[in-house]
Amino acid sequence: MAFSGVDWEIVSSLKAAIRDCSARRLTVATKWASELLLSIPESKRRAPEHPPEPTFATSTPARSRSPRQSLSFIHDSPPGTSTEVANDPQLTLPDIDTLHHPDAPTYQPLPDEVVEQERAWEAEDEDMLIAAQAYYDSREFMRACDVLENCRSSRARFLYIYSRFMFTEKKAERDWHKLDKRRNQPPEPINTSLRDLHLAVQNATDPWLLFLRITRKALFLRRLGRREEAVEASLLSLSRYPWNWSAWMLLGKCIGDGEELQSMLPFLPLPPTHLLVHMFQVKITNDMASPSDNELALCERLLTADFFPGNTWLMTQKATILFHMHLYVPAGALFEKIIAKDPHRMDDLDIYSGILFVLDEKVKLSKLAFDFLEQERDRPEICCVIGNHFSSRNDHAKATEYYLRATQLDRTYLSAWTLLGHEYIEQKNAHAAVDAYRKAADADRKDYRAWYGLAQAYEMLGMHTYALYYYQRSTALKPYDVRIWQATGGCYDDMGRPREAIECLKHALQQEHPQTMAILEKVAKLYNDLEEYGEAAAYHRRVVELAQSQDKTVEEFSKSYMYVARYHMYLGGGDLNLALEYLEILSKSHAEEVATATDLLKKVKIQIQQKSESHQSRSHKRPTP
Amino acid sequence: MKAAARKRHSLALDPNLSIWATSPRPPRRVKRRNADTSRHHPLANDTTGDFQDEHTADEDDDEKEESELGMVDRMRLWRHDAMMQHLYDTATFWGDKVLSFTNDSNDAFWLAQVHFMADQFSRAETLLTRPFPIRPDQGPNQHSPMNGHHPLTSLPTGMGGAIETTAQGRSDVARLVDLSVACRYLAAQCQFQQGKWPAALEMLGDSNPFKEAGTSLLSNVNHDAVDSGVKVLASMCCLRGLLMQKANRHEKAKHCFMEALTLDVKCFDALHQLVASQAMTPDEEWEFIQNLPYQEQTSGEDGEFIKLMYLSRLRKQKHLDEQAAVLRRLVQDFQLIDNPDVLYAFADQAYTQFRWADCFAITSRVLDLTSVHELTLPLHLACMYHLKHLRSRLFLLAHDLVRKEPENAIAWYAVGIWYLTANQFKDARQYFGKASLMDPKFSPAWVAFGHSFSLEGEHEPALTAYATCARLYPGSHLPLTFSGMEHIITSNLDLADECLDAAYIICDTDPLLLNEKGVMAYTRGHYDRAIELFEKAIELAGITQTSQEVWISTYINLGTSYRKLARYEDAKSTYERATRIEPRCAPALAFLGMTLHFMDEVDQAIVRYHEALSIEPMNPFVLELLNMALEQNLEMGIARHFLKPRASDLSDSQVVEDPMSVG
Repeated sequence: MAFSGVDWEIVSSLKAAIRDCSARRLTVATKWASELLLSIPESKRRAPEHPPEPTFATSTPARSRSPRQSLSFIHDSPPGTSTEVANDPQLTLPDIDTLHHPDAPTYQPLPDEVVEQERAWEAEDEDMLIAAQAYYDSREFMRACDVLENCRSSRARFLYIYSRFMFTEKKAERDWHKLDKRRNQPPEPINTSLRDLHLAVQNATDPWLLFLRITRKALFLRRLGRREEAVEASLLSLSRYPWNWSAWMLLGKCIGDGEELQSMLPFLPLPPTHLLVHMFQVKITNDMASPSDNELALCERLLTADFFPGNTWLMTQKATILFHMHLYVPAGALFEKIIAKDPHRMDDLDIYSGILFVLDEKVKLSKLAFDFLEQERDRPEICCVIGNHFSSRNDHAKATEYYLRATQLDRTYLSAWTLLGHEYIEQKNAHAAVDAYRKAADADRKDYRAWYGLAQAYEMLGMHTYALYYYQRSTALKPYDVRIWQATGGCYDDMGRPREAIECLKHALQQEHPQTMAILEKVAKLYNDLEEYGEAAAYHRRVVELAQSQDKTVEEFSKSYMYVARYHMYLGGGDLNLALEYLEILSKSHAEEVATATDLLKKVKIQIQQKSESHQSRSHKRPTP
Repeated sequence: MKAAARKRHSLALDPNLSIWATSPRPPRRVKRRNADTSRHHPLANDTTGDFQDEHTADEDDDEKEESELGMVDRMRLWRHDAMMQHLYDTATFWGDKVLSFTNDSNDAFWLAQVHFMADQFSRAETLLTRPFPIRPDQGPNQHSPMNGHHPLTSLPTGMGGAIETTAQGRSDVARLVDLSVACRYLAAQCQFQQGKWPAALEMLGDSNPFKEAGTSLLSNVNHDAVDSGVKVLASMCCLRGLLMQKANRHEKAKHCFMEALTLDVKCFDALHQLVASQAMTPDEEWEFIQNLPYQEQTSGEDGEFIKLMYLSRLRKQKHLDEQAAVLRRLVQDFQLIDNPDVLYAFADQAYTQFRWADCFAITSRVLDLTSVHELTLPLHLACMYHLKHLRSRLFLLAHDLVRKEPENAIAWYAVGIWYLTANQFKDARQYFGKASLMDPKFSPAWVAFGHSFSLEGEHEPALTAYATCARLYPGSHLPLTFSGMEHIITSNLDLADECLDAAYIICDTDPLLLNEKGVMAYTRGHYDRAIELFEKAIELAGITQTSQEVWISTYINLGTSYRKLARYEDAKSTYERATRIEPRCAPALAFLGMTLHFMDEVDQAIVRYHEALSIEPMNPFVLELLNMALEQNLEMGIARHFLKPRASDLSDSQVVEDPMSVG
């Protein structure tokens, strides 16, 4: 890998990023970059005696997830439930140069004269900018706009447009809430000024304005024509300002699934071994709930002493990866470490609460909920934690309430919507669940759980075509999830399409899973219904073999034993010895079929007898064993 | 003292000074006032100075009779000065005395003028039509050209009717109206103002009596004095046109105005009426204005300037490039960038192209310059209707207008528009009705009246309103287009065709009309033709960024026609264009879904249907389509479904082929 560790260049870039970011009031981004910087050992943070050539000008991350920032754009989705390892081609990084697409933009700073001009303008606008920042901080967005009206520097333009954006978003939300509980309330607030704002940044070259441009577009995500443009704009912005973490996050938002991620990686303006690319990759695969060992390795490497030891953000990412890999215990331990290190950090706490929920650690979950309730109750993450707490205690009404509150605090808070959907499913309120899951899918279409939940809800409503479609979407995002395939199969079965159901279930069987036995039985049953007894028997036999290999008791699977035996005796299987073997096992067990088995045992023995006799009489060649 | 003051040329600042000195040709009047001998006071020339040859004759007269200088002349001076200062009682008082002294027809004319200005129309009329004793030496035949009066001795008969014969019966008595054209015009004006339209028409004659006789006269006049005021003849024609309008003889009125303009291109009233009444089709108008005798009647640059100004006034639906050139010239050659009329032309252009925000910026400037600009206000209001965020300003403006100009139809029209923005159609209609009652020629009110019905879904009354409008404005294609739209909605396809074709004859370059015609072609199943029309409409619309929302429906129409012809790729790109303009356009999304569905891209189609439904959740058609697509997905899905894991079987690390990836 190209970077052996953090050097002065990265430190200076981070410092510049923090400066630029806070000047533009991208608060969450500032927070993120500062955390990274702080985690670098102090000796490295000091300027070296002979500073090397500065290559990257500056950079900035922006990632807003605090509840007050809910109006702003970026959203990382805290993943919630289980997943298993997906294949990731990034594991093996081939030669860097071949990976890089020839048309990909490369790092291209703005021309010097533009930078000079900007600097001059910024100096001109300095006083106005300070006033505007103050207005912005006191949430007087339009005043900030007014004071910046005639400024020319792109920093002022950025703040101007950003303030306007915030204002219009706020207004749109307010107008939307006016229609609360009315029939004609649209599904989501409509910000009608977006187009004008977008026009204002249409021909921008400044990386920050470009970043704003994607912001606009990111909100148009569902209009597909716009998404390609958004990706393009963000790539351009990154090529001008590679350390702009916000642009990375927005780029992540534009990506719909693993395939898109893969096809986009070569277009990144940075070499694939760059730190930022690594962090991006970790974050995105987490968002897609499909991280692999590769990401885990990357994360661990970034946490070594050479890079950002003890950075809480990276630690959270690592914990999330572990969580998605179903390694709940180490993930929980890591979260405890994070809390010990930074006891007031609330980001991503919902993941921790999810882990505790899965581990059924009710006491810890309650403690977590109460601890943070003391601190702050208006953070969607905290509401989610409390919701999980109630949910673990089967108080679904209360849980619903808190999840709802979380979604009200942040309309695009993915996991709260999903959890809300789960709660509604628990309460058998499928319509409400559909609504909640749909919101989640709208918030981020990378999240398979939303689609899966949507499908389940529709299945509950008996709308199988819909359910099937959403199952397909979730399998597209997560092709190796046994549960989804199993559910898809069930859905097909309910629709009276046993063949398709069998196909789906066979896919589910490609992986080991606690449910494997049930799936095998299901397939066998479907084949039996199709009167393809041979196939059915084969699957029953697999059940038996699996049971034997896992040392399961005979009683549990007596029906499979029985089926195989009967098949071979009466339905044309012909392997009487196998039947004999199974029947013997059965008859010695405590299964309820003992009587039948003994009965059949006798018959099979007679059959074998007859067969061997006829065999001998015909050929005299093969002795019976 | 006054003469001295006038020499100082500080006229405006001297309170001792009378206003009349500021009228044109002061040196001459100075000279004449110094002479100050005339029985026919030189001031009498002021507004009727178009017959300058007579003045010279007059002057000669004056100089012959220098001896008579006295009280009468001074009183005439007072009369005139008082009139100029709007002291009409004073002017009447002295004018009356002068008339009694002299019994001069000139003095009678001026007294009538004073009465007219003081809004005492019937008094003026009586004065002009009563038998007037003519002193033998002053008879029309002996004392040729009377000051300010038309010199024609052969005043055509049949104008004055019965009284004339009586007047002619007594050689020493005549009516003033029979003696001079100016008096006759004034009398007609008086009658017009009093609402005695038939009488006024009788006074003026049904058609221009000087048509034949006038040509020689005109040519004389023109050659002698190119730079004269507005000809009375033209004014008479103009007034005749107005009277024809009152008599609902619109065709005739149009001809009168055209005649007036041909007689004197400076007669802006006639142009204004022609344009406002939309009596001519855009092409006719353009041709006519283009070919007026500017050069013959004016000197120097004037002709060109008048032509440009007039052209800029015309409708902007056709000759767009020429119009742009005209405006460019007005701005560059004549530096008229900040003139309200030129700004109006720019605003009109912007409005015709549906650039409401731009238009509003310009109209706001115009209204800053002049508080009320008759032409601009309807545009301004329409822009405010379209730009929804201006609603509160519209409220303010309407209140302001009603307060300032309660007598003006536009004020009530503004109120109606405000109600229209609030979707209170009934109230809106009430005010539109009021506006059109106050000024039956005010076309915006009529159209808005129709729209208010149409928006409410009341197609029949809307049609009636549009029909009235079409009758009033035969040169405008808009009422016909609107009627056609209503007919389309009510599925009266034949009638719709008729209306739209008629409109098309008037104006064949309006994209809106082309769109409607396209819709007709579409409903009749002529998809090729429809595509042609829609494409042409889009081309003509010259769509700019700011106006593109208006044309979404045309894009959708075009896409649908493509779809009908199974040109799915074209349809797709057209619909996509529409969704790019307005991402929340549910029909476009649904149609896009349908197209994709036809193209067997079921997954994409489903995504689109979902998007459409997220905007319009209960649309039954889309729901049905979605169900169909999902069914089909079920059929197709199985095959595609299983390609994928097979690929992954080959190598676990390979990227999975993803048929569900969206876009």
